[in-house]
Amino acid sequence: MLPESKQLTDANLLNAIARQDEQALASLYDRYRLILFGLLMRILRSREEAEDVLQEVFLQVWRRASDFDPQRGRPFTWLVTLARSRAIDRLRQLGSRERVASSVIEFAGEGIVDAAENTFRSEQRQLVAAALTELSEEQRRALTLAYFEGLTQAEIAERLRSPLGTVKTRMRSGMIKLRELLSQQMESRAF
Amino acid sequence: MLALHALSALDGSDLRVMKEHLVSCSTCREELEGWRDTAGALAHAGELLEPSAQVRARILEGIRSAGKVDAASSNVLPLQSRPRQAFWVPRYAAIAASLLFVALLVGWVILWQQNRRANQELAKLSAQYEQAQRDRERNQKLLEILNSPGARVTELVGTNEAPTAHAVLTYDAKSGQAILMTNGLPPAPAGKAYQLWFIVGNLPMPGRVFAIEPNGTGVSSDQLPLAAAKTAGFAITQESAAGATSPTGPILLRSSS
Repeated sequence: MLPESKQLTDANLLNAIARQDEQALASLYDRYRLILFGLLMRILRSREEAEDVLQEVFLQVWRRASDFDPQRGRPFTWLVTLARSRAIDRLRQLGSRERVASSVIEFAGEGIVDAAENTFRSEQRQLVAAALTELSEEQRRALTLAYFEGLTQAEIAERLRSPLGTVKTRMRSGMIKLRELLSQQMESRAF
Repeated sequence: MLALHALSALDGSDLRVMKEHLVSCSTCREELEGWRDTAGALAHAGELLEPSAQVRARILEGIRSAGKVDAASSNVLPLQSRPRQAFWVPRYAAIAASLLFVALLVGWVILWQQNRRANQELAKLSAQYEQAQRDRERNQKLLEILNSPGARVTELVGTNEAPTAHAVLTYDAKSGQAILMTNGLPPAPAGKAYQLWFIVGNLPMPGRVFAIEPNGTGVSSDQLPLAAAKTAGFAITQESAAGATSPTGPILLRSSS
């Protein structure tokens, strides 16, 4: 059991989940449900589908927590990658890309809505929002289509009616710039 | 290509080439994890939305049901009652059967012992092979770093907390790839591990945790944040095995610069 789970790191919680600690799973869910559900809603555009996938994700975490290797990556990255992969698989099963395609939403920093004024992970959200405003519109759009709609580079090129090489360059330069900006902003903040 | 792969955006021949390459290149596998961190950060750009309360309840119910199924499936089936031996079986047939059974049992025990020894030998050879593979990959990566234009080598010396400890951090200031090699540190207690820190100004940024081998050495691959790759000091502390986001233990080794 985890008497003070709020103070435990994500890796601590995953270790406990690997030992089949139910309370640890509940704590991890409470910690990340908002951001993961927001991500799933953004991808799937359906509350019913998003809730279904969210449930699948945490059941998978329960079964696969022992696979997580802290030497290889961060718990948040592992969790969000798991959620996004499942959502995109579901999206492809539903064949709903065309439905989603008609309503692409840009995620420029000023467009981000902070639901219920929740302060959850607010610092990271501010960092990412600030970094995204530094990208060009073309870079942001290409990354949006890849990350939130699961489109491949060829599909993005077709959607944007741009040469494949141009799309690859935009995505790569966008990711490099994003990484640099996030790193710089981390540097400017003290513990 | 790694950045696009982290977004799951590769397709066609690019995806095939990338998958084949990753099988044999540990350096790129590690770099891919860094790109996944960057891609994962995009999740923060979405809205924060509250799922219905039933989702939490369904998840907890789901894991309890899974536990019951596991428990049920692991139950040992009750033994069937042994059928009574027919009264008409001749005694000598029973004796012969007993002898045959004993002979088979002895043969099985011998084969089992031989098999166990062979498995132990195989496991030992397999472990040696895996260790050799890891050493080879580490040395290859070390050479790559040392041959890079941004190669740096920094020495970390033990503080009063660990006066006999010593470490060398080799890294590429451009890519951030780093390898830490230590000696003189005792194995960490159960539940604990050593952790590398990158000090930029007064800001300690967490590196990876690592363990000490039985021979007293420790080796760890890491990825320096770009900020740390330019100008940073380095330190090592003992933390929980899962690592910490800020140091809690005393500094055991630190770089001189």
